[in-house]
Amino acid sequence: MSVKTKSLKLQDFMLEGILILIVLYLSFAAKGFASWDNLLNVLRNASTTGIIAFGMTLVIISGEIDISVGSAIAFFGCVAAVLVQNLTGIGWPMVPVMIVAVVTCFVLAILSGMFTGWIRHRFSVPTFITTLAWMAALRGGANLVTGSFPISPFPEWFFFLGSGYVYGIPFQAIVFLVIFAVAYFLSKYTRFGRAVYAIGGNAESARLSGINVQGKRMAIMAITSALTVVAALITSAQIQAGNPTVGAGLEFTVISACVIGGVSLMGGKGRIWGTFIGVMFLEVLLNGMTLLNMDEYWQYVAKAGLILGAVLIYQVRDSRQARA
Amino acid sequence: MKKTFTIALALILTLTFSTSLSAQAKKYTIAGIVFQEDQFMKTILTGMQDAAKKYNVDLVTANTANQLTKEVSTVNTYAARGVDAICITTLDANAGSIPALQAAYDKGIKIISYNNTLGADFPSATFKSDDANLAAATGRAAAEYIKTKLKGKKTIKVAIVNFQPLLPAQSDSRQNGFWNEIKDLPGVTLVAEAAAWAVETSTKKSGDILTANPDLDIFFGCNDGGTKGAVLATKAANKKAVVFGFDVDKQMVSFLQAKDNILQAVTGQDPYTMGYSSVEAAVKVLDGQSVEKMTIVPGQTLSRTDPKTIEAVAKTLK
Repeated sequence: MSVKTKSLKLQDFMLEGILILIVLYLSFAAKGFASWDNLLNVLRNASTTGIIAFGMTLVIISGEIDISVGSAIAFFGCVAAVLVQNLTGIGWPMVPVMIVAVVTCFVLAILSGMFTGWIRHRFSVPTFITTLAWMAALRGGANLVTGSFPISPFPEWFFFLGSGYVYGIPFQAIVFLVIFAVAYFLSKYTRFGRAVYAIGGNAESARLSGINVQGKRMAIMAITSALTVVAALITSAQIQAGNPTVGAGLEFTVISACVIGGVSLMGGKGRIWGTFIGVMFLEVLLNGMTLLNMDEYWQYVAKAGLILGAVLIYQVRDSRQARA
Repeated sequence: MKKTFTIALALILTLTFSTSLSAQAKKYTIAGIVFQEDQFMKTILTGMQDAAKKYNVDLVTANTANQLTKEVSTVNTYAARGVDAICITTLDANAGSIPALQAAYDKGIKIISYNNTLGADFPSATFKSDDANLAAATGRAAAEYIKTKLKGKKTIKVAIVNFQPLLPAQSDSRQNGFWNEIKDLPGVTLVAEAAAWAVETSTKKSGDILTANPDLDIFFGCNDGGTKGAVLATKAANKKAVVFGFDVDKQMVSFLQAKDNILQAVTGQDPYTMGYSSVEAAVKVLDGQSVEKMTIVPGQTLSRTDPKTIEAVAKTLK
């Protein structure tokens, strides 16, 4: 299988350039922005969105979508909390209980992701529809298992995932950067990564060229679901509870980050690096606007402008490249 | 004689049967509508369910998930179904579902509002907290803290995490209720305001505020998510700020009891009473009894300085 590569041009880094300009502006305009503490703070804030966004990038490049990630964050956080509460309630020691809770969440997530990928391939059910159903079911499930009340059964050491530091760097920021590195490698230097692009470009051609499209679709959806569990555990550790209300609207933030980073909703196009920049773009902007004490409504407008602006930049660039 | 007796018996039986049928028909159907899935609304529903059980009412409930269109269609659905009464808290107290509720009222359905005051005169009763007063109670606890713990400090930096974009009037009432209690104290300065009502968003934004103001003295969270996020961000950033807040639940109580000394005081509403009283009032109105047009449901302030009360409340929370 051959993959067409192209050399990167200056215009491919337009978003990075704009991000640098915004960072420079905020460094002067927003008190406290240009500090090591704040950089770590931005990275920490970006982690939940970013971890899922890397999986979502693969999903979108392969021509699919997953709009259940916000509800999944709530569901898996609540499932873990309920398991911990019930198993410790019957006398199980905390460490095995935590292992059971975490493994259960991963197994459930991977199975649900594989199921979504399977019915996409087997019955041609669009992932938008399946994950729309998951979105409702998982949010309902989160409320059902908790009775709509936040549950806080976790041990103190678990909170390290959400607020701990390793050599002065927030633990969740480290997880975010490690997952970025793995996703970057996976998408760029492996047969799996090339298959993702090929399926997104043209699934039938990919199949004819020997790619196991069904297997890859199942794997892509399962990877994203597993990453959602990572984000769910970090979120639960951060808020010290399993809370059925968390993650509302997160799917749109994640998809926005991918789109800002140049991932095409039509499939076949996008980069993990671009998504990283998209996530940082959103978080830097939100952080800067909060530091500037900007009105919340203007923040919505700015976010909308950013998404539209980024899409326009990519459209203009692509049409120029097509003409060249 | 025998024939007369048979006819009389038949008449008595028919009368008894129809009376029993009419007694059965008097079992009211009441709709309880909430607008989001959280502990506050869930507790309101618990109160409604308990009242429904006590008064032998068929309670049907719906959650409009913060969507005005869903709220309007839910009201229309219940009106079409012909429920006897609707107990509702609306997303927009002055517009939104008011025409739909007016139409339901015109069909003879009794309307009870709770949690906020509808901008219409058809609700038979309203049960709500006085947000400004409840927040003022937390504000007085903050004022006491400032006078005793921050005595002599030249500038006392305060940040407020509100939910203005979600429910502007309610958020403003709480913010102003709190702020009015401390704003005239020497040195008190509002350095930041942010909107974040979900705990994870509030944790992020409160972290940003602490970055911009590392020497922040006080946070006020206008709701449960805002307050918890401020506590968690302060803890994660290892700063000296303290938090005052709104709403009470188990996690909030554990924060008040934590050794980190971050959360100082919160004032909680009484959602259970709001829900219970709404259904109770609906039954009374349907029975033709008179009810109070407006009832302010009192709340309770829990302060770190009163651990016994915190302990007592903790035992009542799920």
